Amino acid sequence: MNGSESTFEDLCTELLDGELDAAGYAALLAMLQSDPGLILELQRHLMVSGALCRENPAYADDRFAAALSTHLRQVGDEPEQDFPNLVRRRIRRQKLRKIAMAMTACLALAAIPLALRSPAGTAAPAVAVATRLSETSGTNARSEEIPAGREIRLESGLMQLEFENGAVVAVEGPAKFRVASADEIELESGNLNAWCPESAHGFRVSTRSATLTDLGTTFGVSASEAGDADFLVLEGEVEVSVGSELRTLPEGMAVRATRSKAFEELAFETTPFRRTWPLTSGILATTGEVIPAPPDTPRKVADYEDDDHVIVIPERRSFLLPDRLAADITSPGRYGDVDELPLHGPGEIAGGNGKRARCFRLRYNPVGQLEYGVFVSFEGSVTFDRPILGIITSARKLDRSDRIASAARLPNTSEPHRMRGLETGPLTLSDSLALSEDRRTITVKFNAGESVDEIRVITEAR
Amino acid sequence: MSSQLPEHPRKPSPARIDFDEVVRDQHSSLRFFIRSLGVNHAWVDDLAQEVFLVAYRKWSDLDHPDNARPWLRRIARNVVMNELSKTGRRQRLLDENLTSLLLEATPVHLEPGGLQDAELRHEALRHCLEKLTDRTRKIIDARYFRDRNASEIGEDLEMSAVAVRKTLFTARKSLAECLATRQVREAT
Repeated sequence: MNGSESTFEDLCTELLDGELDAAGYAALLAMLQSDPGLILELQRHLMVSGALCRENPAYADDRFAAALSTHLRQVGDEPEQDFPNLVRRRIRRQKLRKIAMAMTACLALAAIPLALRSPAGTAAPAVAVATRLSETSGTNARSEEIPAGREIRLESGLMQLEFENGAVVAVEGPAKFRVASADEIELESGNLNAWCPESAHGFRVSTRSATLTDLGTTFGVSASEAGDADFLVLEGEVEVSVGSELRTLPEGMAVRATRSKAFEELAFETTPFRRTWPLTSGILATTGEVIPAPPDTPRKVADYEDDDHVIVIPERRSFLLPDRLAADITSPGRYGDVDELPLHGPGEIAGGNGKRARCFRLRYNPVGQLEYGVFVSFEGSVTFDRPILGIITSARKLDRSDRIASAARLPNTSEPHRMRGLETGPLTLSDSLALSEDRRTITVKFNAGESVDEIRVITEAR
Repeated sequence: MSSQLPEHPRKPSPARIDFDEVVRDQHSSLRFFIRSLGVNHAWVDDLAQEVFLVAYRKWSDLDHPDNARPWLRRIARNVVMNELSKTGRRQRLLDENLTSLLLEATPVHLEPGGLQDAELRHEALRHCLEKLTDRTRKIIDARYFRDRNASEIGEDLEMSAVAVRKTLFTARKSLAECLATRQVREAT
């Protein structure tokens, strides 16, 4: 390799790493201009690095195609002048707002002497905690207290809001919204998912065309810049009001409220909530061949089959732990491989005194069944938003915990015990897993054969 | 969220089946094409979305779905060129001069069988990755799946950042060759 090639190597790699400085750009351009063959070479590197990035599930092809189809349905048929008109209207509104603010400021100045005589004012109290998640990894979260009235513009990525009343809302950027109060969000544009426990019933999401009121549920709202809003119920039910018209939406139903203040029927299509739903379900991030189940009703999520991935299935969000729940793993460490701790052990999760927990299953469940003797390997990890109390890996303990942990009837509980859980022993390829020191991440390696590879993860509840 | 396409008063909507087929068939290669014009990885999908939106609105301009690929690429070139003229949006490009150069050098009609014409399918890439050494795969994994940069990978694997960069460069080159070979083999 000669010196010139070597410099191109460095510049090309720095470019792809986002670390190329101005002098580097100038040197690279000069090099490309003098040797057109290097342009083709650079394009090859750009395309291969793009393809490698695409192997990351966050940028996967199916995700793109699904998001695109939704976007086109929402925007493609708008008359082209709609957006410019919307912007013009907004500019007019902003001008009026500025005039109003100037008048308010004059009145406020006049009121200062009165205010000085009244009790000292306090800052608006926080009603929620917002956690911003890193665009790439989904972790490295940053949290901030949010007072009532705070407007938020989320350019990209995901944000989780935990309200004091227990409601959990996940928003995907780009989105514009306002935390109006302790139990209301005003969504101007973007997608959000919410889960409301009993303590948060009555939680509202207002859009420009309609208002949703929770009646104990998990739901999604998607508001367009143009003013339409789609509402979808994954679990429980909600009320949606447009003007004086009120509709109750049960689980598995969706409806659109148009900017002309009317309802339109909608197919139940959960794709817009693929990224927010895992977050409201407590799944912060996944890597490799471990992915969250697609959003759906609990029954459909429990039955979900996938040939190529280990699926993370949210189960009961909050259940009373019995005094002792049998588990196999309760401490951080590595399990399953040679020289590692055994996958099946005599562990217990201590409960009682009203202690609550939450449940997930990690499951490789292909469409149909693999042939006898055929093994497929899967590796990856999942990070939860709460510490893990214990992991169940053996078939009998899985069966015993189904009743308290499962959010829906499970499809395979009637199968023989040996067909569930993780395999160990000399006659099979052993599965393995690791529980991180902070107890939030599980890394798995499943060697799936004809049985269903499956574990249950018990985490702390909110 | 999907719903019936609303009737448009001024212009009929594209035949939904044809358009959906074109999206399904073309989105992958279109995104690679956009990337090869020097668009920042994080913005490739946004620009591809803009291209499909333009295509959706101008669907009647396409004479036959079989000609969709060069037609979409022409739209993509225009969308990327628009990026050059919008000061506030140049962050979407790795570098405006670089993109200008790549635009100039990239024809819409690419040689069939060449890497630029390939769709770089998941299976082919997986196959080609398997041919790399374990250590190289580790470096690829750290760079593309764990978002580690060359210096961080170097620290993890006790290598210099320069050595990591060289390995990545050589690995991408090998992958490009392997993918092109598979493309030719699949075509014959």
